Amino acid sequence: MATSTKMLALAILAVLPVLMKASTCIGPQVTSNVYTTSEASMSISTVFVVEVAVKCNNGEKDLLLFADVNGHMVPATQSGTGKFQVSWSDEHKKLPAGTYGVRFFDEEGYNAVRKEKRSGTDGSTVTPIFTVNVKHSGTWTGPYVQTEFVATCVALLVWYMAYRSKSFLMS
Amino acid sequence: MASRKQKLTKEEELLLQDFSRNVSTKSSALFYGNSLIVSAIPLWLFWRIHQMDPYQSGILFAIMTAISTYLVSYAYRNVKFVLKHKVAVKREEAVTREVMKKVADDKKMSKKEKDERILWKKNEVADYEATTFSIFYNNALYLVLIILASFYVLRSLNPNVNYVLSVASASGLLALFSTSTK
Repeated sequence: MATSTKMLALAILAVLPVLMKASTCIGPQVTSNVYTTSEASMSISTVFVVEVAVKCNNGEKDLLLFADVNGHMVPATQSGTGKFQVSWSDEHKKLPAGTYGVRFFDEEGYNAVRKEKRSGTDGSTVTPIFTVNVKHSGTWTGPYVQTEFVATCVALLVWYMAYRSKSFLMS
Repeated sequence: MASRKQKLTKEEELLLQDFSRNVSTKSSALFYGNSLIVSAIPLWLFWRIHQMDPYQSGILFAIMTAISTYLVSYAYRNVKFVLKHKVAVKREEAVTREVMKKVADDKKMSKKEKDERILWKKNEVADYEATTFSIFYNNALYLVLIILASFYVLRSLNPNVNYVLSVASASGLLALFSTSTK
């Protein structure tokens, strides 16, 4: 009786990892939508928003995704079936123009990256499910010369020409 | 003693017109029309750039535009009067040459008549050139004063106060400068 109980417990322990295995996406087809801040004059920080729609070949729907954003792992918010969103912000100078690769991991990948980071590495050896390249063209900080200054200069120039003509007539 | 009513000659009439600051109805209409358009320009500036609501500030806009219209047309008249004589002197030779070319073959016309015609033509050319130049010069100066006042001198004030002071100072200074004889 005790032996059969022991055998049952061992069998459950052997099967448990398989039952508890996280859902994984095989052969993901990804469509992404990206927004980045384009104007710095009306905002204090640059914001990146990445929206992805993921379709897995194995039909997996219950995905849990994490994104590697500038070395930080953040959970991706689910905004619909197969749709995820990740956003982050920072000062304008800390997010200059360029291409930012955002790596997406499932739970397994997330745990692997965490493990690597705990051991002192940056987790770059872990293969993501997919990567989205975010192209940021930089932020516009306003014109080099203010428009009222240009208007003033033009008006002064026209007046000066009129003044010179008047001086000539009055001479 | 019977009073003699002397009829003015054409020459005397022209001289009176020349030395008078009064303008003809046509010139007056031209001056007021132009000054109204120029005085209306700050309305667009303050509505679109300084974000003043045109309905809330309608009465203020109307009053200041009317005051500015009067002062700007006053400036037009003064500058025109000062310029007219100078323009007449500068254009005298050319006008005389042109008129003489036209009437040279007319043997019936006396010298006096020819001189009168030259004087009349000279007056007309000087009047027209002085009018248009006065409008051009005063418009340029008014716009410079408005831009400097509203965007630099008074920029930190409330838009309503900014509008009143910049229009009043621009049109006031314009009228003041126009009284100069130089």
